Amino acid sequence: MEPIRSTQKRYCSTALTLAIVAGGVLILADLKPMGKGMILGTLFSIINFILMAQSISMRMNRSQAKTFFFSIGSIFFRYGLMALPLVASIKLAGIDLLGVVIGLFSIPFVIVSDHILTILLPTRAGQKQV
Amino acid sequence: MAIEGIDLIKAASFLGAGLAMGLGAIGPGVGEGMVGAKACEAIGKNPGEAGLLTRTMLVGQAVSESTGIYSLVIALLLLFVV
Amino acid sequence: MLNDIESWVKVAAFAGAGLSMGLGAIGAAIGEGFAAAKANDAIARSPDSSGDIFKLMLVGQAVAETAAIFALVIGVILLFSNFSAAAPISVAALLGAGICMGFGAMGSGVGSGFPAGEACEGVSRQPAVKGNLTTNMLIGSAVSQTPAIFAMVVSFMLMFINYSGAPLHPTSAALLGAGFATGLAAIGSGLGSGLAAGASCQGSARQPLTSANVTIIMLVGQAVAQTPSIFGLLISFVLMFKSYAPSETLAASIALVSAGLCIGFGGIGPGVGNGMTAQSAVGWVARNVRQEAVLMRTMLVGQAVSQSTAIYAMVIALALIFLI
Repeated sequence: MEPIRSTQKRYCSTALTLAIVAGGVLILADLKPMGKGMILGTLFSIINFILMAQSISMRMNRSQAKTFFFSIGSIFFRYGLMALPLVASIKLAGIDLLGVVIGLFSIPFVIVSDHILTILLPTRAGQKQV
Repeated sequence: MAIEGIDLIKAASFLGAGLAMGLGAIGPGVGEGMVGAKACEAIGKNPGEAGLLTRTMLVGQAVSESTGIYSLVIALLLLFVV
Repeated sequence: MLNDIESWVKVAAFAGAGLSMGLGAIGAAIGEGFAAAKANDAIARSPDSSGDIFKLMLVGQAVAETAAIFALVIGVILLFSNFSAAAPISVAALLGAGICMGFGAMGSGVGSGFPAGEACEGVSRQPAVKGNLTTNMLIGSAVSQTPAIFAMVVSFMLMFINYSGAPLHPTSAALLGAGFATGLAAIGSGLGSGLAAGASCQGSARQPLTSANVTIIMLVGQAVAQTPSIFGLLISFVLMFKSYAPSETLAASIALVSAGLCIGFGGIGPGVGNGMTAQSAVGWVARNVRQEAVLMRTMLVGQAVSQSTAIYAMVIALALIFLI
């Protein structure tokens, strides 16, 4: 799974850097719960992405119906994990719910914006696409 | 809440109107989409006849639209006449 | 029998959370099943590009599952938040929020499976264009998520706007109707946008030179296919923000629920239909790019006619709200 690993590394590191920078700015701007929430949400988004990559190779060579049930199981498993930061942010005052929600969407956001930047900035077009 | 005869009839006719128009819109919506899809396919294959094909598409869609209009009429009847 | 309001609010919140997470997961799983089946064929056809196909699936799935994560967020908030204002009206509001998000995530989840599957097949045919293909797939499935975003906005409003001052009887029906309106209408739009995105991935794999034209017509087609869900959103806003005179009659409540059902179901057909038209137009622009202008025109005319039934449904919904 070498090609998958490089994709993972690239998007996860970008997302984590973005979250730490944005979270740091928010913490310095006296919005500590929101910054903490954003970093926590991003961490769980990354865990979700890594588990998703694991599940893809397990899903091969099955019929469409079997894949459906396998996917349901894997989604609920990952739901359970991603629910943790959400529940924590609802129960604890130190973590902001909105920050966690934004953090949970950081991986899809990074993926889509990476490709949109490639279209908008022609200088990037020559770079290696992932 | 008090449920009397006339109130029940009104309530049922409102529900009927909503469902008649809502469910009645599914068929024509999908059907007209299919007509449009086939028209695009035909124009892609034979662009010279684009005018004729667009006209045919509109006629076909108008016919399939009629069931949507029946639903609209029934819904309006249920709303304002019953 | 449960008699106190607080338990009923809890029941509504749990039911809403279950609907939201369950339906959201089912939609995403159907889409993934489709994508994985296509990917299996693709790997069988060209085992050499299996690495690229895995990468595409991973990236595609990460974006396609956003709708399911929306549903998770709404579900967890419903389950664990303390809705302190235990007013009887919260029962309808929380149930409406769950219904809205659950159905709303379904269409987008299934729809974004189409571009992922077609892109995997495309890479196995033309490994050289994988960059363009990935971009196309991601834009297509990101746009397909819009109906789910509408549903999330409505769900958040239903959960967090304080309705305790409003008269219980017509308002609780209105909130339930608002959930149905956006949720059901988003199914058609999500599916339709997915169909258009799938065709664009197929097209840009077969005819790589037309990729830019294909992306443009895909975006136009998706935008039109999303109109029914915007109608649904509009009706939801009207239902949520209109102030109602208190009324104890059954008819007044039923009228508001049926307004939501009417635009909700009425939006499914035109959404799917518009998507089918866009699917075919996108495919033929890829094959015959010189006819792009005439194909775009035909697609828009065809979609406009198919949209008319959604407009009828909106008229009836507005009549149910304002004239009754």
